[in-house]
Amino acid sequence: MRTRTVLPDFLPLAAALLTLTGITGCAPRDRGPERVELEISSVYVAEPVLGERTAMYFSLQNLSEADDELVAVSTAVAARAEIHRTLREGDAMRMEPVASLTVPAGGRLNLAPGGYHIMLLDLQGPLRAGDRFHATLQFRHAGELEVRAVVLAYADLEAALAEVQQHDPEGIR
Amino acid sequence: MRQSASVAASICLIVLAGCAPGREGTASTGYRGRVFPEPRAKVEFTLTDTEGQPFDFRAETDGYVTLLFFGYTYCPDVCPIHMANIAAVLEDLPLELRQQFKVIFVTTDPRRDTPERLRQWLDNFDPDFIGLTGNRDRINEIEMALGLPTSVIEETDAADYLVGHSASVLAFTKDNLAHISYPFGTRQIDWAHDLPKLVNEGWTE
Repeated sequence: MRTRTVLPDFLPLAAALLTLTGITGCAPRDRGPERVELEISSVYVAEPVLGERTAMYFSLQNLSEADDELVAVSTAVAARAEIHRTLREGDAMRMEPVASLTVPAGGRLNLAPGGYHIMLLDLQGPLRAGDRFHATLQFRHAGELEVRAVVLAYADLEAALAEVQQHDPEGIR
Repeated sequence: MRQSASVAASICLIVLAGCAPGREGTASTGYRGRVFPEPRAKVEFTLTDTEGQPFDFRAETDGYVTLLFFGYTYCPDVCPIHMANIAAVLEDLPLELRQQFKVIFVTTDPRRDTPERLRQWLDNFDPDFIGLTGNRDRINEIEMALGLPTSVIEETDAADYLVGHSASVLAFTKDNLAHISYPFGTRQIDWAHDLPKLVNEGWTE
């Protein structure tokens, strides 16, 4: 299990919250042809502006030698959760739903602002910065992974993003 | 397998796009934003503000440093992160500096972003931020005249559709020209560096 120790010091609150969520868990299962072991860190969502919807982010490390795929996300806080990606075309950005995301063997998948994210739609109640909730990630091979997400204010998301980039500078901005 | 190959290809594209912008011009001007080779003039337009009143962009922003952004309130991260970062930095500026800024958010999704909804959304960041709406074709014309990519709306179903838009904030100085734009990924530390400098910028050298 990998914990995050190098954190931006200009937003200690966000950093502290991330440290707590940085140890969310591994999911060793062997439903697939090969055993797939995933490690997840930095699970966070933005505090929704108008309370209707928000985006969820996390980083996944695939510790095994087989690809896996994130196929669904569910949580009691939202009636629907969709996997989205943001496309950049020059200076323009737009997002679109995708059916699944691959977590490559031995590699990482980062969901981060401006890139891949989980849209939580039809939120069932208020989510405030500092709140925590559970979500279930469904993988094709690793099965289900329970995670705990923390809600961060939009102004604190850049610290979360910086933390992901620090560990994976080539990753999605 | 086909699926994963296409996902991998898009990761490469996003990484390339993410690394390219944001650095040119910084050495010569000392700004963290992207300096345009040729500054862009303010476009004359009148749209509707969140009180339902006409807002003459050129007249109302004359003499202010104006940060102009095109986005929509259903936007998951690019729009609210820009707004939250600008609000956080402006809040930390002394009042006499802060008063010299106008932040303007033009919706690219006028069908869903009513003036009331825009006001409610912007109030979460800063009640002084100005929200504008209008005819979608007119808003696209304005974006085009400013050299920005026009917004795209893909109707998926009636309630939930997707909007594409420019990811950069245009910064007009008091000469009524935009010399700089701020791409998505601009940090609060960058805004805090540039905003006070923009107030007294004469662009004379």
